[in-house]
Amino acid sequence: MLKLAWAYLRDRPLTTALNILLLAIAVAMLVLLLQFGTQARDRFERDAEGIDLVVGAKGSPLQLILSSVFHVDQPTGNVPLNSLELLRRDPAVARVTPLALGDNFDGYRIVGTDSGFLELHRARIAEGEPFAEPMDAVIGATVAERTGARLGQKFIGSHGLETDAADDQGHEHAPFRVTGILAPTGGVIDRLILTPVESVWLAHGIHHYHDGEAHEHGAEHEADASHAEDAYEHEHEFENEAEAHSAHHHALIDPALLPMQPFASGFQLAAYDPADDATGLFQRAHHTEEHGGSSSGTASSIETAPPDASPPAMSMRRSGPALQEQRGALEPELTALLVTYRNASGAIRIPSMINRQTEMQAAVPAVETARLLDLVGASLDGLRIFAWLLALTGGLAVFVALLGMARNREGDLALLRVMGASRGRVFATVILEGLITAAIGGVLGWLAAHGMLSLAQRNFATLRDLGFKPWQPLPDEGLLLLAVLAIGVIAALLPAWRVYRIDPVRTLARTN
Amino acid sequence: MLLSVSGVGKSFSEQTVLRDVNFELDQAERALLLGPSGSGKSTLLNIICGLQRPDSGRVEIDGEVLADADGAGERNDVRRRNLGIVFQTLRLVSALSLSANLELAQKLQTGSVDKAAIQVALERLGIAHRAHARPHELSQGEAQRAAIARALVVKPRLLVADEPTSALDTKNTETVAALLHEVADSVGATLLVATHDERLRGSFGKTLELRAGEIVPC
Repeated sequence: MLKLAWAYLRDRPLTTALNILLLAIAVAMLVLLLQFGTQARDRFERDAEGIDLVVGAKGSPLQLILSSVFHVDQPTGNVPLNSLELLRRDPAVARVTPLALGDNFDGYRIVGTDSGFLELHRARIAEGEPFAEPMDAVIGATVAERTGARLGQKFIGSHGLETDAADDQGHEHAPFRVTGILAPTGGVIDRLILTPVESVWLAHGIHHYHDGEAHEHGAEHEADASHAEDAYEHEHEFENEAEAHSAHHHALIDPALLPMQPFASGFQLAAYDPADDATGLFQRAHHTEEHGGSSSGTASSIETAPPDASPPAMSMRRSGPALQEQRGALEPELTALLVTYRNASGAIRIPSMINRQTEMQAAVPAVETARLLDLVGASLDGLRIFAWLLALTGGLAVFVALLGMARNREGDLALLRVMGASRGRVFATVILEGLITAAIGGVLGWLAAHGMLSLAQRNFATLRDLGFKPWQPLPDEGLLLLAVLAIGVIAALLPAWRVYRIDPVRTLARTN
Repeated sequence: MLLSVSGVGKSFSEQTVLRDVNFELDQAERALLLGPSGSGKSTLLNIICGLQRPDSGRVEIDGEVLADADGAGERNDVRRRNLGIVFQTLRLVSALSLSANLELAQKLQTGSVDKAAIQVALERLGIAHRAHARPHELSQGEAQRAAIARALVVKPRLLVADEPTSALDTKNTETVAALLHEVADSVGATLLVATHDERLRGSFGKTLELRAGEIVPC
């Protein structure tokens, strides 16, 4: 019967091809919508897992989430370094992970952070070791695969978060060294280059202060990573000194809370002024030039980045001689802070406190992601309805074709009955035609959708950044294909019923 | 005795088409059912083939009831195992090639496909070179041979032909008659040919003349 049904379909190639095409287009659209919706939602949920709140410079909360959690947009600006300490001291906060963005390597974002970032993303080192010193870099699995980077290799980051060959400013004075490669996670971390926060500052020549003395990393670490090692040794001195000075006014800061203790202690000490109260500290966000502390230098040395810019994590947007002149006045900052609550009270108090009492903003990933998906979902719903209408049109076309076939081939089908085919077999032949048409349309549509996703993923960086897997099948696709098969069967039911009721003798006599 | 037709009667809307038809055919016997148009030949043939239910009487093949007043058409199994039918007009599935039609007939009637037997049948009927042709590509003569070939490949015990020569000239009529004998011989089938074609009178061992729905002495 299958062979006969196939023969009938081949006997009217144009009609069959058009019906298949209609169903394939509908399936392709539905699969594309399903893939975009599901993969984006899954990806958003996975990447935001464990992040209850993101604190960053004021601007679009969605932009803050996209840039800091999903790493697909530009940051909104910077926040002062000491905001990290303040949040870490909050009893309702379990973890604060700092982020310092601003550079990329070969289009992959360099993220200044601490070891908490790896824990947050449940990432595991596959080769090598976690970063321990400034200019150490741990690279994500995708970065390693695409760039071919190996342990011990050095690379130079470029300014900006995306590759821009025309305006690629490399930080030749501060090369990174690959110390570790992460095992694939399927999350955004696969596409990131992780390094201590201090590396980002070093790459941009940011100095820090300790006991009133400025140490300018850019000057100390030129041309070679050995300078970074020097700096590390130097910072270890700070660590010892920090212990020794634990009783003086810097003792307000617990070194254990700092992102990379040896270095952070130095920067934190420089950034923190005991004269600042909590509100005062937060109000320095985005406007560090207004802070009158001795460590902040002149107001003109800091440029507040516009929300749509891509500021490095230290509010530095100058280059060339002007940069050299201003280096001594730059202040280390962070791009954002990823907060995990210890308990629910944090969710009630902290966002409102930050949004009302500081010049920073607090954005909740779950809320912003839901808002984004709602916005996108409204558009997708329209397309989805259109695609289902298309699928129903395909079903209608199959119905019309099979009904016509049932009329034209009554003689054939009566002959089958005379030759011994049961009513059920003749009925099944027609149903099979609908089913085969729908199955081919479904499979072709599925292949076309995934082929298009694969092409899009190759050609659009955003899809790559979102980690779209073009050939990843989804369980709902199975249901979708079943629904299309059902359309094929339903479309064939009436024509099949018509041939089921054929009286072979009368039909043969009539079709003589 | 292979075929037994006893007391078969059939009416359509007050019009009696068949009246108490009785005859028997032995294994491998050749019979001609001769009668003019409207004499009831096709109705009798449909009843013998189990496609129509008689109002009275019954048809048995080798002791198995193929049709009676209680039912017909539902006895597919008896028909499938025993009958080969050659239709008056070209009756091939239009979407299939000639050989595929023969395969389909074999599959439906015997449950399996014997490609060697199909090749032999096509060669015997001189249409092996047209095995892959579609029905509409066959000439009338080729189509008639194809219909006989299809009946042959199912190795029937009773071969029934309905007006097999109605559209043929004398030469082709003789050829087709000879082929029917040859095919029946090759499988040892009983042959029953229904026709109004007087040219076939005398070509078969037994002639049953049907007039106004009754078998009359020849």
